[in-house]
Order: sequence, then structure tokens, then C-alpha cells
Amino acid sequence: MRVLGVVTGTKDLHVAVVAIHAASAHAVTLKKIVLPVDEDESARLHRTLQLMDTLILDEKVDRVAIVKAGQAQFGNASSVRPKVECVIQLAAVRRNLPVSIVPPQTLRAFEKKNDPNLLVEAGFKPVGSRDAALAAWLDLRKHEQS
Amino acid sequence: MSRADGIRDRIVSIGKYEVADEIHEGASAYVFRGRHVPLGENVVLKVYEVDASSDAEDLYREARLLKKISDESGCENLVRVVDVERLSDDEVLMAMELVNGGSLLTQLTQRGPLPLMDAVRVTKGIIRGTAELHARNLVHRDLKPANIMLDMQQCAPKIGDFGSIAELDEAGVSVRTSKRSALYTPPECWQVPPRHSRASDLYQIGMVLHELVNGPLPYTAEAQLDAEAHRRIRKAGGGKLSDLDAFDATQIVNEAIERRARQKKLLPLAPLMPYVPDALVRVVAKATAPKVASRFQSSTDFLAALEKIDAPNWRREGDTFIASSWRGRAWRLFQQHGEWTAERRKTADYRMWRVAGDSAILFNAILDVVA
Repeated sequence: MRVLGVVTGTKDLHVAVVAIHAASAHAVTLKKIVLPVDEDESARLHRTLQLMDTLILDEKVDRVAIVKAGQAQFGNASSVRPKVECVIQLAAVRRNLPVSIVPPQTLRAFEKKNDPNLLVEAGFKPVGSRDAALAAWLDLRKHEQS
Repeated sequence: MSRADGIRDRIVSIGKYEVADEIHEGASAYVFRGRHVPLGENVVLKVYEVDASSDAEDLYREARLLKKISDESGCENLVRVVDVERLSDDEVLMAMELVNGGSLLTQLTQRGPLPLMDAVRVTKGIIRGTAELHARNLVHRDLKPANIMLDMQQCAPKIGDFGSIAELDEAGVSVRTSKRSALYTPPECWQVPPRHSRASDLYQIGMVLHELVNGPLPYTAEAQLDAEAHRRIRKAGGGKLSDLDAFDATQIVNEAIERRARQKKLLPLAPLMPYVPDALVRVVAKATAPKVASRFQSSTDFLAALEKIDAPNWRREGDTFIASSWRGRAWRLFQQHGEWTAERRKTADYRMWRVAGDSAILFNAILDVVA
């Protein structure tokens, strides 16, 4: 079972693929992907959809977990992140993959209760990468328990 | 009656197809333009030779693979199979969708390089098609302009000719090399043992991107020949490569390229078009890096690198470079009295924008223009 965790940003995405190996979770891929550049927003979103579709194919994931877009850095409502979130869901649905949206609060609670060092590669300096991996791990855990 | 005429008669005798003209007589297949009468669809009819004693799995391998992938993925960047049947004991007929724009090779040789961003867009389509294969542990092994069709309506490339496709080994890493198109064979495929991985497919796409942006490779197979190759040509009784039969010529060229790859003396890809931005030069350099470890390791990485490129859709018309829309204006660059002049137009006529001694200064300045 491989789960793709994604943290959306306005200009880039942090993605992590977490898989179970030897009874523990490992982040097998950690990447920062810059969102496509285009003056036309619809073209930009379409290109993001194609990029996510290729990522899902490349990483051969079984599930997708997206960290829910909260407030933007300066408290204003970000219009880009929810759209990108929606595009990622569409890419996953196209490949018949289940998607879960993880609220940031749930992620923080999960982080407190579980030792993030279980993710061996979790030297996660960028918060985005760490959160993407945690979201994937949380989804993996939930799926195993269900 | 030629062999092609015989094949054409056999296809017509099935009663299902109308055959128009022959498109291509390749090394391993005859290809015709035609029509699938019951479905009312224009098709490409590809007839390839098979071993008469093969079982159905081997006979229809290429067709079944293509059908499976296109059914599962619905990917618009792979040619769709319409029908397949046995034409004779040692021939199989495969009907595929007719892509109206012809191959990229035809585009390149007849019309020259594509406009800059169109080339990038087409390359992204090729990467997505290849990603569908890689996700199924398959490698194409023969990606080159001649094997990629261009759908003019959708402006989408479609990968065709799956004759070299192979399944990766159990570890999903690599497979034995196919040396069908020596000019596009990555250096690691000339080593011992020759292995072809996903990164090798991406190398071939890098070569295609270079050609789409800058025009056909600045050399032919003959340019690869070294002293040893010329000695072998003389020994085989020919004055030049074209005097030999296709098999001998291919073998000599392959060996010459192999020697160059081992001695790290592969011919450079330059010259580049002057408007190619540095970011794209870096992408091509990374995609075609001789060392596998220095290349893009996945289709996503390659695609993400191309998605960052935002530049005018430059095209060349004679000695003038034109971008029809960039930051709300049309742009034109040409040389006048030893200096480069940039003009721009919003609605009516072009007006002078800047003059510089070097075209690179102007191309970079236009790139930095804010809308």
C-alpha cells in the first residue's frame, strides 16, 4: 500500500509517498513540485491536473491524502489552494483512487500522539514535506484500522 | 507485382477495408492509409511479418498491448488500435487510428522546428504517453520523431510504433536494449551489458525535444562514421555508406556510434535557436545527460521542469523571429544594418521597441517584460 500525501501551496506542492516496509512506515518519495506557470488560470489548473496525473502514475499510489487548505499566510482567503486541492481530487478520481482530506488540526493531533520518527526518512526540514508525509501516514493508518 | 501491391490486394480481399496509398515501407512493416468500412473510420493499416509458427500471444502482442493500455488509460497521447487480424501465414494486419498531422519527422523536415512553446507542449504530451507505459512496467525503447504522430485538431502528439516495446525485468529497473534507431540510442545502451531503463526513454524524449525546438539533428548517420567505419565500408566493397545494403550500413553505423559513446565523443546537439531560454537549455541538457544518474529519474520530474518554462511562442520566418502574443503584444525581431531590432505591436502596426548589438540581449529583455 502506497499513499500519496500532498500539501498545497499557492506556488508549489509538497508531496510525499509513504509505504509500509518491514512493519514500519517509510517516506519513499519526498518532493517539492513547482506549480505550472501560465497567465491563464484555467490553463494553469489544467496543466496542474496533467502534472498530478503523471505523478500518480509514476508513483503507483493506491490512495491520496490532501492536507486541507487553511488560511493563507497573512490570514486572507487563498483562492489558489482550494482550486489546486480540487484538481488533485479530480486527478485521483480519474485513476479510481480514494481521496481523503486531512484537516490541519487532525494532523497536529496525530503528530502529538505518534512519534514522527517512525517515518525513518523524517528529517523533514521543510514543514510542507513533513506534513505531506504525516497526512499520508495518517491515511495509511486509518485504512489499515478500517 | 511488388510485395506492397500483393499485400494491398490481400487487404482488399478481406472485404473490410478500403486501401488508399502507401505511407511507408519500413524495415519491418508496410503501412497504408485506408478506411475501415464497417466502422466508417479512416485508419492506418500496418502489416508486419511474424513467425508462422508463433502462437496467438506472440502474433498479436503489439496490438493487444496497445489495446489494453489505451482502454485502461484513455490516454490521448497513445495511438488507438481499431482492429487486428491475420493477413496470411506470416503477416498480421493491424488497423490503427489515422492521425491527421503525420509524423513529427515529416513536420520537422518539411516545415522546420516547431514554435518554441508548441514544442514544449508537444513534448509534455509525449512524456504523459510514456508515463502510461512506465506505470505498467513497460519501456518504449524507440522514441523518435518518426514514431510520434501529431494530431492537428487536438494539437496532441500520439506515440505510435510499439514494435520495440518491452517489459522491464522483475525488479522493474531495466531491460535489454533495442538498437533500432542508433542516433537516438542513449549511451548506456552501448555498454556491456546493454540495458534500457525508464531514464533511457526519457533521454530519447530529450533528443526529440531538442529536435522540435531546433530542427532535425545537425548530422545524419554518415556524420557518425569514424576511420574504422570507413575502412569497413571499403572492405565491404563500397565507396560510401549508401553503396551498401541497409543491413550492413545499419550495422556499421551502430558500431561507429557505439565506439563514440564508449570514447565519450558523441556529436553535440548544438546549434540552438537564439530564442531558446536558458531554462529550456538546462532541461534538454539534463534530459540528454550521458550519465543516467544525472538525468530526470521520472516522467514527473521531466514534466515539472517543463511546466516551469514560461516564454514567448517564438517561431522563425526567414530571417525574422516572431512571437504572436507575449504580455499582451506581438513581437518581431530582425537584423538591420548589423544591429538587432525588436518591434512590438498591440493593435495596429509594429513600433520600434529596442535595438541591441546582440539578439540574446533582446530575447532576454522581452522575456522580462511585465504585462
